[in-house]
Amino acid sequence: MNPECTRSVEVEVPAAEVSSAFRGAIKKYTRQARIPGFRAGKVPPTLIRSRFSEQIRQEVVEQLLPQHFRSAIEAAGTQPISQPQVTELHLDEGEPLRFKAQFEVLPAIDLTGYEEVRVERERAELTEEEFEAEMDRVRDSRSTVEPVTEARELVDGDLAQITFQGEVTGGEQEAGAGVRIDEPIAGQDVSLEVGGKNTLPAFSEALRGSRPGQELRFEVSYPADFGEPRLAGKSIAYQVEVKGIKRKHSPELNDEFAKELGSYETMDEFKAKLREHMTADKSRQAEAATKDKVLEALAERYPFPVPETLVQQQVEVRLDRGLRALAAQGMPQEQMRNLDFERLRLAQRDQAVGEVQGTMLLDRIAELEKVEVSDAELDRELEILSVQTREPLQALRDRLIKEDALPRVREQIRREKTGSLLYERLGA
Amino acid sequence: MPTLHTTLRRPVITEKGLQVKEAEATLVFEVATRATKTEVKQAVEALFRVKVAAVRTANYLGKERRRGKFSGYKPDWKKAYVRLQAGEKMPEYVDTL
Repeated sequence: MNPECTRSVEVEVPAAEVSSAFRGAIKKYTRQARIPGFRAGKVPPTLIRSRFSEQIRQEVVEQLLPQHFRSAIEAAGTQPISQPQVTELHLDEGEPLRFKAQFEVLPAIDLTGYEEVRVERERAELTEEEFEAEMDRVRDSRSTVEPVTEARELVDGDLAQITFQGEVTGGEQEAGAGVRIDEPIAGQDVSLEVGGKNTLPAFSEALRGSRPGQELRFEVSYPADFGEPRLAGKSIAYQVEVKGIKRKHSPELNDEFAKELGSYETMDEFKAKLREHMTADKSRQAEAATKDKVLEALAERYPFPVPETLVQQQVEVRLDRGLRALAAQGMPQEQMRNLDFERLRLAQRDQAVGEVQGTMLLDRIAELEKVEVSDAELDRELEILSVQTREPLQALRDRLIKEDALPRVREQIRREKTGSLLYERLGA
Repeated sequence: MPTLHTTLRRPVITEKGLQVKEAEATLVFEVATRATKTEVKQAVEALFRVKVAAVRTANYLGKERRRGKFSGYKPDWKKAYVRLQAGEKMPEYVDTL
């Protein structure tokens, strides 16, 4: 718990109430108890009391504690956001019940003058390079690879099909961080683009001009910071056999191709659409980045304590999301169980704190600005959700009502609205 | 040689046992089958530090118990009603057996 957000209450429950709670609990156990030598319900209270003393105490605590805790916090006028931690519990039959409860509350955030904060808006301009890169990607995704049948020399842009074998000849034998070469360096029917940017220049050079069926021998020295730790800092002698040539055929950027890509008539139409999409994407990203910057600026200018409870909840949310992503990538269950959860939690912490700060600020500002979410807005959000989750609208609504999740959806919309408001007001 | 604790095996905590305790100032025990009334009296006086007025005993024969085709008997046992002298404070059984 964050000490700055922690409050505590002391509660005393009158002895009479404690006694009656005890009587009630004993009565309940009398009815239930089955003890050999006694007919059901005929066990004397003294025996019940000694047999079930622990359970009875617990029952009494469970009955009295939440009820009196609630009235105590109501009297104190605070709103806990965490489960109370009860200390110094004193409970004896015939005596008043006393306990102390500690819990976290939302801190008061004083945002006086926050309207004056100005944050520079992130610019969202689509550069020509970005557009070209995207066009290339589209083209690449539609291109086909076909084997070249004529026996010619390899030129740049060809995909060389090779089988290779490597042997370490120099460099440190023992790579850093205890990485050893256990597996032989070899590959069969690997495709390499000659002169491509993912191909080592040494390979491109050696392959350029060779013909299928030819065998090559050459040596490659890998830089110490090479991406693959197995190979970094080593010299390796390769024996390579060129098996064949393939050539990538990229479609022409003409109207024909545009029609293939969807319901576009001309290439220009497709380009315009793509540009539009990318620009919209960009500005969305910029807007999100700006909103984050606004919240960061506010958090810096108006520091406030962050309740540990919320941070922990957020850490769990993030962890859950991360695990789901891993599962979606196909990580097997047992491997997941072996993850170091303590470390993962720690790694999520900083970001979780930031996120909690952000939502707390948004909630506070929503309060100040009296941002409300109308039923129509809620309906619209539900419609979007129903499309996203492919759940019929009515079923989704019923489920959310049953799970008591509508207030959370509402809260989420309110935060988004507040974020947009901040963007409009404080962005410059 | 019977000791105090082999003589008194355990208190009989049942509806009847507790009823006679309240109504007739009588403690009820399961005792060793070989124990005599005198031994029971001495054992109760020593263990509970009370004066015993009278001891009545009853022998129970073990019930037949079957397990499939095998049959056998639960052990025989003896019950002792131990009436305390008038004015003695009733001790509590220790109920953690």
